[in-house]
Amino acid sequence: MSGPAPEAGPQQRVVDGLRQGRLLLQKCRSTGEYLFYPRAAARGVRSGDWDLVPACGLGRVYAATHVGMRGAPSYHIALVDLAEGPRLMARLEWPGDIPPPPDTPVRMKMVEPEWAPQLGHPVPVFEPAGAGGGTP
Amino acid sequence: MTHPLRGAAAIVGQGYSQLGSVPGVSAMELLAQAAERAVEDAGLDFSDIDGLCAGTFYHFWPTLSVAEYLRIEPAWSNADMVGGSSFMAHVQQAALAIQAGLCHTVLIAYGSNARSLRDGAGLIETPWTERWSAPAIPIAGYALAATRHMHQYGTTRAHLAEVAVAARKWAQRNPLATARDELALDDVLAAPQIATPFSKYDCCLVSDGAAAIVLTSADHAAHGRRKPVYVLGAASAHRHREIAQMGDLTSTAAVQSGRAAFAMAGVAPKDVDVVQVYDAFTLNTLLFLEDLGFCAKGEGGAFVEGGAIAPGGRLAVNTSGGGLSFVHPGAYGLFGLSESVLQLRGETGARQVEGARLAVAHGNGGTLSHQSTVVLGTADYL
Repeated sequence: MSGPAPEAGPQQRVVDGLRQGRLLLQKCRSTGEYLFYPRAAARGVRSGDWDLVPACGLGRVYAATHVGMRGAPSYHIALVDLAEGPRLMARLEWPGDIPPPPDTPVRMKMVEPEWAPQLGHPVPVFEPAGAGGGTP
Repeated sequence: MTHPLRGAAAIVGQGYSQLGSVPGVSAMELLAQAAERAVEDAGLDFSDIDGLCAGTFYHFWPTLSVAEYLRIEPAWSNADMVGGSSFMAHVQQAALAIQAGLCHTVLIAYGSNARSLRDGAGLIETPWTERWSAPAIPIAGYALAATRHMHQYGTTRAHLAEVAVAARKWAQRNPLATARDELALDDVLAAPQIATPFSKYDCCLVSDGAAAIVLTSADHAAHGRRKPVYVLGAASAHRHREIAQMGDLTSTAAVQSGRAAFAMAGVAPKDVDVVQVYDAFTLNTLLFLEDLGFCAKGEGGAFVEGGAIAPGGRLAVNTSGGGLSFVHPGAYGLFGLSESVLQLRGETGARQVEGARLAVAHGNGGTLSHQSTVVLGTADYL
């Protein structure tokens, strides 16, 4: 076989981004729309008309729940609306067992997930944004 | 103009397997029990079945496995797998196949030994970005939707508890139901929250069990052994697979499926005598009463207050006890259809809604992902 090696698909490129400590979002060139997760092609997403760009890491909680199952560590999980627009499911580092209310500003960091060691790469986790809020 | 599918097919047989905790019996064995009873109930033999819709969580090619097991050779089959609402979708697809002349008599069957197997997920994959946070799905997904409904509409844990208590009161009238002991609003509110705002009482059972129904053409049905239950309207809609892609977590595609199913049937929510909605969690009942048009968006909590959907209330909802208190073997859709059939045939004993002629069975699949609504009626509605 000859010719250039095929470029990895958007899923592999996002995982590669996580290994480098970045969350990549899809940004469509012609419309400026951000998407997560990225699609190779879809309605409004033309092949070759998009880039993967790092998320700024700020967002607001859309909804959050505290999960406490018998015999397992409890945790907070949230849907976070990123400042760029897309929504992401992630764990929250949040004190206590009452999850933050909707609209709480949060900030992303990368964590090696002890709850999913088989992934072999860091994942985005959110923590309180503190003073300054979650929207740039 | 009347839709050509309206009343074209009817449900003429229904069967359950052993239900609840049935250790030592496989999902396929339970399914076969239910299928045998449904075919016998219809006054038919397996040799009369020339169409098949089937699903389990443990068979990748379920119609192949089920047909082989039951020793039937369908001329038409369909294994649409969209979660717990698959079987409502199957009713529409079976009615289409019958009306088009592709087959005459369709068996729809589902079985699971989720309780004994301790495997409620089976072959269901976790979406790749959801694996990053590894949430307890489905409970965490529905809990997120509940927190959002509470935030936007002032829905309370007491509203959710009303749903759990109403389901329990219906289950107490159903000898087949698993959870029949007394349950008070305060019991639900005092229970520890597993995934805020849900306690164990907000969550469906995990059961072993199977259900099956038999459909045939309206012409055949009129000469059958049982009072036919006609398919007046059926429609499905979906917008997402995983909860992170849902958009507004307080409004489901049941808005579309309900509207289309009611339009096909030529009836409105106010006409309905008995309602079965897929109550995997207490929130679901509120969402689907709203989205199907039994009350306005955001008013589900107020609608169910004061025992309004319990026996003797303003609307008979989940009269079997539902997934919360009757049975929930991984997927509940076919059990909601079954209860609708039994209500319209007048065979539900202490929980019978007197004179029930029009029923709605609504299914939910995935994490509020797939919505499918079936409107069923007696011959009065033909």
